[in-house]
Amino acid sequence: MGIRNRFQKLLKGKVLILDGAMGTELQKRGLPTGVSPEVWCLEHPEILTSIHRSYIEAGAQAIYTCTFGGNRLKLAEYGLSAVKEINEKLAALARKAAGREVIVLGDLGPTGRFIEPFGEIPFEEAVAVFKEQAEGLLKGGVDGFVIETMMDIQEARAALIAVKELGDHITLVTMTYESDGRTLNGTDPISALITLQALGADAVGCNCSAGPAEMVPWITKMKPYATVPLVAKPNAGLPRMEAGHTVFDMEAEAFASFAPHLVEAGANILGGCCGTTPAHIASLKGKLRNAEPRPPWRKALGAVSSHRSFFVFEEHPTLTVIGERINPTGKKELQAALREGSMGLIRQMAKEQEEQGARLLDVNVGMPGIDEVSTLRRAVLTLSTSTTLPLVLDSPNVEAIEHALRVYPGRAIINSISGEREKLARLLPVVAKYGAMFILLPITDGGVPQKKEERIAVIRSVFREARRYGFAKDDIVVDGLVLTVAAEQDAVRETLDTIAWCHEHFRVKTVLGISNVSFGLPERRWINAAFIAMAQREGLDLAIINPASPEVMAVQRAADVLLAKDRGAVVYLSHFSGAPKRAQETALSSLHPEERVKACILEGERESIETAISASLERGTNPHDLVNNVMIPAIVEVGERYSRREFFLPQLLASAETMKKGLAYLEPFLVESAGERALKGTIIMATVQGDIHDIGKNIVALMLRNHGFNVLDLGKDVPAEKIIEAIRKAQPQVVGLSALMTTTMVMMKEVISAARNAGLSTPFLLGGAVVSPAYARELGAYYAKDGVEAVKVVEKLISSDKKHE
Amino acid sequence: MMGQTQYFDPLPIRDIPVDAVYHRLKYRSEITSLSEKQRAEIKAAIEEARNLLSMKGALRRLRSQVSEGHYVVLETGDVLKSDKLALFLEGCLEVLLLAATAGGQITTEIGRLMDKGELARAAIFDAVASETTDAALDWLMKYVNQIIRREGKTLMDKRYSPGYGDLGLENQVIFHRLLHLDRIGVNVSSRFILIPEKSVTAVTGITEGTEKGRSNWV
Repeated sequence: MGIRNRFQKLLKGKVLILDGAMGTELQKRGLPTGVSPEVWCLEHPEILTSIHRSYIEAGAQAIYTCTFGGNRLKLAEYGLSAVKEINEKLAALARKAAGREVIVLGDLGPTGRFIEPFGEIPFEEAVAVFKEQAEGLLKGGVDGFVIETMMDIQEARAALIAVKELGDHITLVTMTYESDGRTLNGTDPISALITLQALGADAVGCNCSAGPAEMVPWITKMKPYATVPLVAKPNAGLPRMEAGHTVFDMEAEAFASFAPHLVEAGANILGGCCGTTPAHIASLKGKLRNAEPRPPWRKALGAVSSHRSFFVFEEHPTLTVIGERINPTGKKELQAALREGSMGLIRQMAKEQEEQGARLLDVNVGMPGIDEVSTLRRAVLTLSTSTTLPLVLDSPNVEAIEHALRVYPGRAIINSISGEREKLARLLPVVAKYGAMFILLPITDGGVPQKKEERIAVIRSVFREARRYGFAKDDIVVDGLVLTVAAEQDAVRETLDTIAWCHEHFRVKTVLGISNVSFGLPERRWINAAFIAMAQREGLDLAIINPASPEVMAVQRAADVLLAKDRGAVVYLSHFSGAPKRAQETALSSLHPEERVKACILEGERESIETAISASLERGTNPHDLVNNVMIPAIVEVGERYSRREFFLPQLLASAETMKKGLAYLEPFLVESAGERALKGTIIMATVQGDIHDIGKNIVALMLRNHGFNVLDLGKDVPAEKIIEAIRKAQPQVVGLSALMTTTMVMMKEVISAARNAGLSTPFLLGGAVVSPAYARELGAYYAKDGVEAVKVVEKLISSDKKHE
Repeated sequence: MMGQTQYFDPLPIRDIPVDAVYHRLKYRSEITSLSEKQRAEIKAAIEEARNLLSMKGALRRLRSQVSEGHYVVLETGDVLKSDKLALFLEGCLEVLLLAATAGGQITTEIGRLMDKGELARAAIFDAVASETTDAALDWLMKYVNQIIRREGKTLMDKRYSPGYGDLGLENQVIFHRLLHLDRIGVNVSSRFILIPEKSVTAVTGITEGTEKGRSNWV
């Protein structure tokens, strides 16, 4: 019986039992630290064999080879390079221990590096690394592979592609998730499942990092979307110290007690990871004797993914917007950027479209004068790190599609595959290899079919061909074919009828490139908006549009409400009603001029302050009264709100900047009316020597200036001598010192001592994250925790100083 | 991973720790009130700051021992003098040296904003850079924990940085040399300040099991 049949038979109505931990078992038997476990096992084959045998005797139906770190990059850390030989020998030992009854899975663990675009290792190098290891394992007699403990979806993909390119081998893939349910790279279990099962994994799941209890919700989340069996290989809890030895805190029975929950959640394959022992596996087997696992109920899934998110079409009855803007046609700036090889504009376009409501992004870089293959590949890698939206790869160039699909760390849609014979023959196997979905474009070598019936014939024909490669209807989206209404007015009806047929009869998702319909006409947005609503009435599922078009976006949202796709108008209301407004927010223009000045300062409206002040002055308000009775009370109120945490730092600073701008605008009027504004005093500010943190000091300086103080800012990393010299020269009322580190705050003592030794009695005000009131008192200084408090302390110091005068 | 420095360029940290950024800026969710316009402006500023970050990291695992309760002696012969660090690492046979940087572009922009008087945006950018650099160290520690778990080991869940507690700033020279931080564009000035400014180094211990009762972090 072939291995694939054996595998499926083992899963029929039963849970497949894997082995438990190898690393911790080797440690118990003397594996020293700092030594390659793989090589140590080759030096102690009897130990390795006994561990394999003990798991088999405990009930494991599949064992992993001891090759977790057997790839080139990991072995190089120990100065080893005989990758194939090491893997072959370890596989052979497992094979011998397993006999013919137990499945042997070649274990491919992580390299410890991250793969482009998330790290520096080129994708093809990663594939080559895993291929080399897998070749050795195959030679040693493994039945299949397990790709495990993966933190990087791209690395998991590289390993899976490597294995699949060596043949049709059974491959399990398990990722390792942090306590928040995502990998270190941010991939969630469902996105990983969609990507890996589409790419050809025979089972997908999770291992390590967590105990069985933590894995139940992850398996539960994955199950509804799984087209393959699910794997759970948890740790025996967390490691702890006991009498000088490492133990895991979950004993065998406790570990196994979670097995029924994992099966109920949807796991079909179970084993144990770090800390588990043959006893754990035996208990697991006992607990699962009568377990009835749920096989995957889906054969296919209409879903796409990025490395951080996923989109399942059946869960979104409203229209799905595919952002169309990443397309150089008619866009000179994008054309120039692509010619230069710059990806900044593409990144920006992706972000903007995401904010404007696109759920997927169409990526097209086709234009003369560039290498489309390398450009599309770069665009895909760039977008993988700058947007979470899944991508639609748009190109007629088969090679460009292939290179882009190979490196895309998710499941994409290809735009498009048509009935053109040669392209169909070349593209279908490529798209099938990488597990992508595709847009079916019903055109042929003969051109664009005019009538609905002709298009239907092409759709059926292409789908028949696609089925030979394993595609199901869930994997395709039919393009209804949009022609320009200005040239072919009757064609619109054919397009809409094609959409209706796909929706009602063929039962497949549909898409339209909406803006094609209005080409050549003025005010295209109205044609586009009307067309999209009409198409939605016929059952359109996806639309390639510009999400920045408010008319089209508004109409499509309205149509979803009218067609009862947006139940309760939830999406519509959420978009148009916005978040609840903050109480007391009033339009500035409706306020009395002095109130307007106050509101500008309270709200941090830097752009409006000058106009507000001007309006107030025009009404005859005395500028000094404006400062003393309106602006200063306003900034004081800002400070009080900040102290109560009703405002936070950016609001405080925006208000302070507005105040500063307002005072600067008022300055000539103040001088004109009653001479220069009297300053309340002079403060010297400095960050002490050795410390370069100064943003806190700058905030205090701004607040003090707002309140009418003259501030001499000496900057950062200021030696004591320079501060003393400045005190002598400027005769300030207060000196403010700032330090952010415990090792630099000691310089404050030096400065104060130097001042006192020089006969200077100026009070010092200290601040900074590590400074405390007690420390300040110890140095005979004052303390302020922030700019608001600093103003209060300085005002108090100066007013009490004046009393003594 | 034993003994060699591992670099992360880029360091694939997932997200800006937005909650931490807001908290650093003294936002309190039950109390602080923001208008829609302010919220949008702050969000845009955070996004702008994010685009200026160029996160990189380095780490190195070294054998170590505590000497006389005052010194941590590394296998390279380097010595870190700190009573608190020595107490923290007592019982650990290995340490992990870590470094992360946000790159120079964001520091330059913060300086430019401060010179222009745009302190609100400067404060936001500063918070984004500081919290993301700190989060990068958290990421590096989680990464290492994934790897050493298979050895039955785990990291202490706190870390020490030069310039804090009694671990003198001059130790930055040791970190810089042992991690070859010039590889990720980080240098150390004659005053032992890391350049670019939004860079940080740290040391933590590797333990057998999870003896995490220690709270000697200063």
